[in-house]
Amino acid sequence: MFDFDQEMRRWRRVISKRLPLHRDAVAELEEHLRDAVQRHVENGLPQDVAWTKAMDELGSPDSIMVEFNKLPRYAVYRWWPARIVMGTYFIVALLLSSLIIARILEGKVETLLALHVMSTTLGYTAVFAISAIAAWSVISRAFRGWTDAETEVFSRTTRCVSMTALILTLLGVVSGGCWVYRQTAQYWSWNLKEIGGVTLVAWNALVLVLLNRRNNERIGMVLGLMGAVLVTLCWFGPIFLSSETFHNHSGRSMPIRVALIEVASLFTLLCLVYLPAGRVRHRN
Amino acid sequence: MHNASMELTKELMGASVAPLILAILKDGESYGYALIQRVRALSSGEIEWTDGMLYPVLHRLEEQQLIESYWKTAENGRKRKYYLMKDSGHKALAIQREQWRLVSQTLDQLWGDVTCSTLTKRCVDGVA
Repeated sequence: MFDFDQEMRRWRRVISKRLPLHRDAVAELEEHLRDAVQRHVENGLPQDVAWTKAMDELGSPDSIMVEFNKLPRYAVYRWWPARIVMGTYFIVALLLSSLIIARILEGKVETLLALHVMSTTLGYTAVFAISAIAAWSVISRAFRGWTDAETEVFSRTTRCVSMTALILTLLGVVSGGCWVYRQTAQYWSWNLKEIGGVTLVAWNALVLVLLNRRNNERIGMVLGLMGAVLVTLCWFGPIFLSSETFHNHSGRSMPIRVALIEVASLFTLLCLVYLPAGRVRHRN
Repeated sequence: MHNASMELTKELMGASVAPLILAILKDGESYGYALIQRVRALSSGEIEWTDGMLYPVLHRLEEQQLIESYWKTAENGRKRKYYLMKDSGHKALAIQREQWRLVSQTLDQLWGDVTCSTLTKRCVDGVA
């Protein structure tokens, strides 16, 4: 027995997954589908046939999604925070690559070590880039409000940069392991830098999985902000702990102060994430 | 983006969808399903759009500030999203109209010439 409401609910579930940020469009498409079925039934078709015909006329959810994704407001390259952050990132990458290539050519550094340093640095910096975009988004959302289009473009940018960070960090960990093997005949020695690298690989993978599962700007922003803390710990933590200044009271105060400032800023921004969009502006 | 029973090319259909929507909205507000029905009726069923593809175009036109939309409860009690033209939409339509007219006139002349030459050739052949 054909159950129109059940079929409609099923279709709505599918299309909502394809167009998670277009609640308006989903409602619009649903109304369209209802109109089409009603018209076919009025023309004498049984309801199940009318449903199938209306679905054919409407097109598949995948094809509709493709067309919606072409809308220019969702293009990452048009979103100026992404432009600024990614532009800066590419300049840093270019400068670092030139510096390292110059050192390889001078014979001052091994190619494998150079690859490790470059990929790790760029992988870690990419996580900072995501954090910068997240911080901007949190502030902008709280003061100016937020649109579905911004959620989409923010999510796309975060996914794209997270993938870059994942690939580069993984390359850094593998090349680092190979380089260490040459020196000590073992790939892994459980030191803090290695653990930090693997933690960031896992973190980037987790970010990608969570963002792909649920396209929600708050999740993306929280993950972006947390990434800054994690990369600080994984990158600078081992350097700080292994340095002599750690054992020197006067030398320790500066990094601790920086860490406290970072935690305080993070806490403030996390509070802003959970405010309704535009709340700060409305209060003013 | 469409299934065209006249086998209109994808490019031609893609180019014509925005002016068709704007031209219909010029006469007054409308909603997605009604727009599709209107195009079907005007083209005697020859232009068949894949319905779902209309909506991204409507949203694009809205982004371009050519049209605007609002939700309204229809007579049957269901909510519908209505689209209406903005001033900028009227201007854009006027420009598009001129452009399509120019293309149409040029093609008419070319194909008119072809028809004449063909006819002339036929006439000449006939006389011969």
